[in-house]
Amino acid sequence: MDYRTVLTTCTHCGCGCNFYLEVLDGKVIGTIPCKTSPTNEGKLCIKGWNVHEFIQSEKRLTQPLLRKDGELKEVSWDEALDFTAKRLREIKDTHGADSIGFLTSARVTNEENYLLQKFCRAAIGTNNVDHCARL
Amino acid sequence: MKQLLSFSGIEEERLHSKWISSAEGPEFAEEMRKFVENLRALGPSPLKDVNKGKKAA
Amino acid sequence: MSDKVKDKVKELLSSGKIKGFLGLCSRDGNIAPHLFVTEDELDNLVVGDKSAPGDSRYPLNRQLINLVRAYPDDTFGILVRGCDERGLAALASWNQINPNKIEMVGIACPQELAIACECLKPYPESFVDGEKCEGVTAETVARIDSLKVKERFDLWLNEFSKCIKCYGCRNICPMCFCNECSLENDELIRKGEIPPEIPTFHLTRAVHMAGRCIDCGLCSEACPADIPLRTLYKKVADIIYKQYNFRAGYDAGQKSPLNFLGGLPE
Repeated sequence: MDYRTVLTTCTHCGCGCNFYLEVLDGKVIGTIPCKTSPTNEGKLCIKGWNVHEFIQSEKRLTQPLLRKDGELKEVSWDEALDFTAKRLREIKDTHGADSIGFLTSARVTNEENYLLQKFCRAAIGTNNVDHCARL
Repeated sequence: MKQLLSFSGIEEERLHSKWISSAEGPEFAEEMRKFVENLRALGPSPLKDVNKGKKAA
Repeated sequence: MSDKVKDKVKELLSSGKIKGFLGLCSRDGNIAPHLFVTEDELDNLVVGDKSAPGDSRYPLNRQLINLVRAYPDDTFGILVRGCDERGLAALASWNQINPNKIEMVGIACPQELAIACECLKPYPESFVDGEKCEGVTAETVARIDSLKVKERFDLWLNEFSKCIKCYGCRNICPMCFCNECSLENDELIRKGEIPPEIPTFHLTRAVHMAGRCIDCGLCSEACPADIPLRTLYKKVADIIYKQYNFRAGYDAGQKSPLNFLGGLPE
């Protein structure tokens, strides 16, 4: 028997609520808001309360998908990255950097968001970057 | 239930429960007549407009 | 006040009587719910008083249900206050736990906490630490009772309007163990409707707390809108007491008058 409560931060938005994930024998079974967190003081929203459900969802993507002959197919990271880099370069060379835009996510870390805007501005050369939390 | 409604600020007279046999039609009709009369006297429910303008997301 | 608790848990663990002890520990600057399985972990055991007595209590009973459902043959120890003990008694009466497989280590709450909670019985039947203090009756309920019906309506309308339908009150509740919840029944509570219909959502839950709520107050503490849910459920408990002379968890052998699953109360 292995039962743990693991302190972590909610990935749903930028608030940074803390909670404990209940882990029983390697399986995440529950979410308990952290009482002593200065951010959320033992409270959560409906998304935070259900974090333990999506973590182990079978619907989560575990591999990159690439559309081939009209159908999404699982491919290796190398193939997906090579394809994306090649197409981005082609589009930039043909239509200019401002023909490309990037949408980033509230569900990744601040650092990852920083990296993406850096890639967008420095590597591609456009200011077309936005974020789903800026609704 | 009536006590909980009253505590929540809803007149407890708005809820009425009584056991009546399915064979006692006239008694049921009389009970309903009285209940409706009482409700009319109370006027519209305070909850009438509370959830107005709300759409399912 | 944790030393005597530590000694007791040490004794339980070393004798092999329990597989683990569900309590609270000080970890990374926070107070965390924790399953103690070895004696050397006990240095960090706390009872959940960070800035004020009982300010960091967790739904340990709820976690215990998860454990005993997975390991029904093992015996676990658990930290209990008066409310937690009532919760375990009530859970046993609803056939959710086997009381013979649970070792309670009790603590009595200080008067300050009893007043804040308006707790009628701020101590378990037996406790290893703390001192028995006076039970406190619910001023908050009496105050609302004294209002006119229109004033009560406005008060609850204001409170319920703040609800963001996070389901936190149900999710934290150690007495909410049902597999199917009425609050997720589309006939009663419409799916995807935010905020929820007033007062249907809150009164549905209040009705389900009748004969079940053991007044731990975790719902009020978990509510991001600070709705005084505890006061509402205190009133519901008072109604059941008035009608049936029953308070959930106060008499370990007694079933709720609303519990027909296990046969009518004797």
